[in-house]
Amino acid sequence: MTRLLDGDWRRIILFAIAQLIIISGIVTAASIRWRDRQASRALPPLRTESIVLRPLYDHPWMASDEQLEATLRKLYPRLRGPEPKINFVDHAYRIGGPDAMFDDPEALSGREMRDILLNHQQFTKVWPRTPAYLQKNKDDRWCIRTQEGLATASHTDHSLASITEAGIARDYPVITSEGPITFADLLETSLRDFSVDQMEYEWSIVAYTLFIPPTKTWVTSEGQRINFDTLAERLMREMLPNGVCLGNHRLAGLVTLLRVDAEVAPILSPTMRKQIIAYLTVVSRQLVKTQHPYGYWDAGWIGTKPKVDEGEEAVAGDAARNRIIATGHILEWMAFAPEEVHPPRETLTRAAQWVIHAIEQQEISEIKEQYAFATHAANALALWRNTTPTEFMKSRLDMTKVVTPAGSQAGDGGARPTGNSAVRQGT
Amino acid sequence: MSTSTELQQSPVLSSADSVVGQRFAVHWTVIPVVAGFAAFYAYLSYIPLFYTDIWGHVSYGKWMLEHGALPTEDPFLPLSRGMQVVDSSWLSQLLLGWGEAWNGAEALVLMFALTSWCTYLILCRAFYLLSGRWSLAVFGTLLALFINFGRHGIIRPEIFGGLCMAILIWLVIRGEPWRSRAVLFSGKEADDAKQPWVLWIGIPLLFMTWANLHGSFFLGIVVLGCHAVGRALEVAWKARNPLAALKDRWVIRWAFLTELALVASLVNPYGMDLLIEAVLFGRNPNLKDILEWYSLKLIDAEGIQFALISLLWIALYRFSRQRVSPVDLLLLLTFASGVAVAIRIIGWYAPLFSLCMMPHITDVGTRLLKRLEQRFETIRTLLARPPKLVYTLVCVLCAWCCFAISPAGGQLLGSKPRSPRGVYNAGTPIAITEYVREHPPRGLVYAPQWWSDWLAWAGPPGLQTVVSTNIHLAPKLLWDGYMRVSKGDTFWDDLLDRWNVQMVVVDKDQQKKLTSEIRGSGVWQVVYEDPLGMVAVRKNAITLSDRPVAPGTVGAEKEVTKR
Repeated sequence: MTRLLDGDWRRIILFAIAQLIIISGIVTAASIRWRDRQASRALPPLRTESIVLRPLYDHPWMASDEQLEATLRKLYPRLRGPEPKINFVDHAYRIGGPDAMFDDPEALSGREMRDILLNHQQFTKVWPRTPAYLQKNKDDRWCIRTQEGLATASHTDHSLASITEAGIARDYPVITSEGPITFADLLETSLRDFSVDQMEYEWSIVAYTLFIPPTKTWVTSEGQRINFDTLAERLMREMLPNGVCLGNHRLAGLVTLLRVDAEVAPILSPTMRKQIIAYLTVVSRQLVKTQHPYGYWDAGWIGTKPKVDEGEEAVAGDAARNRIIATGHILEWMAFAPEEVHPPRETLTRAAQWVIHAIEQQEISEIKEQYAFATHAANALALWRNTTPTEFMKSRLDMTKVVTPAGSQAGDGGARPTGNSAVRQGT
Repeated sequence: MSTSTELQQSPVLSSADSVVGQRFAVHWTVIPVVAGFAAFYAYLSYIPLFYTDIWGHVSYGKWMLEHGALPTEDPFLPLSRGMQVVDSSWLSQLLLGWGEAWNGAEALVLMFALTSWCTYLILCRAFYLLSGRWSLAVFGTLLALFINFGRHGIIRPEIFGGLCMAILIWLVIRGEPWRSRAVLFSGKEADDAKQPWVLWIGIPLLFMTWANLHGSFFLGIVVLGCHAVGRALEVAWKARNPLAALKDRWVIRWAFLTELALVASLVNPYGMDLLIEAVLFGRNPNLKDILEWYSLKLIDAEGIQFALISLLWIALYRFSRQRVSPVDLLLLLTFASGVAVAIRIIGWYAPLFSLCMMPHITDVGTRLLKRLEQRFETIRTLLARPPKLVYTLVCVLCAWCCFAISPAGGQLLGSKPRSPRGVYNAGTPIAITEYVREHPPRGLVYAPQWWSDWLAWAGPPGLQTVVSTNIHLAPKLLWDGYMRVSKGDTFWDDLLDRWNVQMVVVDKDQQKKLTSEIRGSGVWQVVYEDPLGMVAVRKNAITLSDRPVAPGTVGAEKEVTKR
């Protein structure tokens, strides 16, 4: 004790205590600040279920019931059998949803399609020799294999957005080769990898718009604080028709933002909302100018006139494909868009009638070639009749021919809403 | 504390000298020192303003003056919107902004010249305190200048950081008694019982200022930390008892001073965030593409320079009779490692290397000078000459002449303002900027990052570029894309589409492949070209004639389509 009171020892102890207090104070302050910084960079919380946008208009003059039924029957997802192209599966699932049923044994039901996409065991039954569709990325997080062949998604986050648009729960069980995860895990991987400057961003934005509101702001892994205004700017940034499907997915993304902003939660600033509407109005006017007298648009939709390189009657080859891509996609996003951006009724009717006849004239084998594009047209026709393909066909199916798959995955967070509510709520 | 060899030499003034004369008379050896520093000032004031980040800093300063606030995002980079700005140089930028508003580019030149000149002047004074001889102090200063030569002409907030480092070195020498030869010369024992008030007051004031001037304040804290750790090691080693370090006055002082500096540096608008950013800044992945952040390679100019000073280091250790201080060794090893990781650190290594070498330079140099004096009678006679007022007058004349021929002096004395060619570096794209001002872009501009700040500053109002020298503020993918375009790699044109770039400015010397790609492109049309660079715009960009122009909508200003 006497030694402790000795001058030297007292100095040592006081110095040590002082250092302990100062250093721990600085370290604590830095740790708290660091934790706050990291917390502010956390991923945005996801809604319990994705928002599903409902159709808005019933325009029977665009497609009669008979025309719609004929078109939808032609576009049954006849994908049963080995190695169905994943791009077709997710497109078909997008417009059919989990409740889709078909009176054709060759067609996959909605649940079967969902299982191929979200259940590795079901996937390996149809694609036994390819690498898993659900894989781990370089950060050891689960994601969807993309642009690596027929057994993979065609575009960044395309499958993710397609499944989200059809309606799915955040906690929907996804079965991977290493066990179950949830749909939220896949979406969070996408959010972690997202960059405003990435090449393909259209589907990521759609998936986020349907899963993130009412949260408006978050920080990307690049450290960039973004909100839905930023995403809208990104969608409008490039010149048209840059982007997949002649730029139409960008317009579809904008329309999705407008709808969620108006119907679910205000996610856009008033200025940005006005800006998007002004942008779409310009596009709409452009569409009036570049519509072919027959009613279609093609790769020249943003120019001064349609491109008619292979003869006006061409219904096959690249020309026909581009016409179905442009016309089908335009009709689809217009169906979700507010009325103020619509072109005149005549323009829409001519486009719808052209697409009905174009699909009617094509053989099933031809349709198979451009199945993914044609699903947008078929979906558009149903939307313009204030319905969805599944709802519309429900009462028209020959139930004796409907195949009900056994052993479909449980945990049905993915059923489509059937009521009149515009969106499925639940944050 | 300013006791020196001159005092040892007991100057004897002649009876003819007046009282004023006695007071202001200097030794003739001061003349070359003053003449050298005066010439150095004149030289610095003729270094033209470089075209890189200085203009970004001035723009930030002006922005702060106009908005009365600190920027939270880069106001000039639309594609980096949302990237948080922790502006570690806000005070420097404000000073530069003020300066520019006061007297244009010449004010920036003056600020640079004065700051850099003061930095080396303070270093020289500090080294004089260490060595007790002006000749050796000048040698130490020149050594620091030599090591930092590749960076001494760069005009940016770093110069204020350099000044702060010089002040820190001076404070350390003033504060720590045994560092200064002056104590030894006055025949005193180093008195470590006396509180070093200069440090207790100077350090917090310095770091409060430094933290707001430049992010290099963190290196200053490292310098103090090295003193604490080095001193502790020294004491513990000597006593063969680690506890001895805990009761050593200077270990305690350095430890508290380091912590004091750390706490003082938190007095800034960002608080702890500034410190975190200062530590993490070097980890930004974009910096790997920037020359000054490359690691040291011995085949490069900096590498050869580093090898040469390392040889000098070995030679001085070999021939010096001074003991090697653990503090100095720790400083040298820490900062040399820093240089090895990022050559940019050489700017901070330079004064510290001189500081650590000064005891050995003093030892070897003094012996060498003494030997020369013994061998050559003339030198002895010359050195023995008494101080005279006339030498002081010669010094004043030298200083006046150099001030008068400097641009600031010239302006003060009524001479014509310099032409832009004299003020701006020859690589500044002045003619290109004039063209761009006359033909403003219809949207975003792609320009090399080293020209972007200048173009945004001197180009038409509102000109925005893809990236700027604020490289750390570009999201990673954007930066990678920028580099791809800069090298003219595949998909360069797709990237320009992705960013909706409407005008491309190319540095023909640095971006040869991009130059040829643009010449051969069907989308881009060269509209202006000079020996430095060229300007290209989109060939077929069209605007929809019936586009509604809603008031206040940014989208209405944008290009929507292309053919």
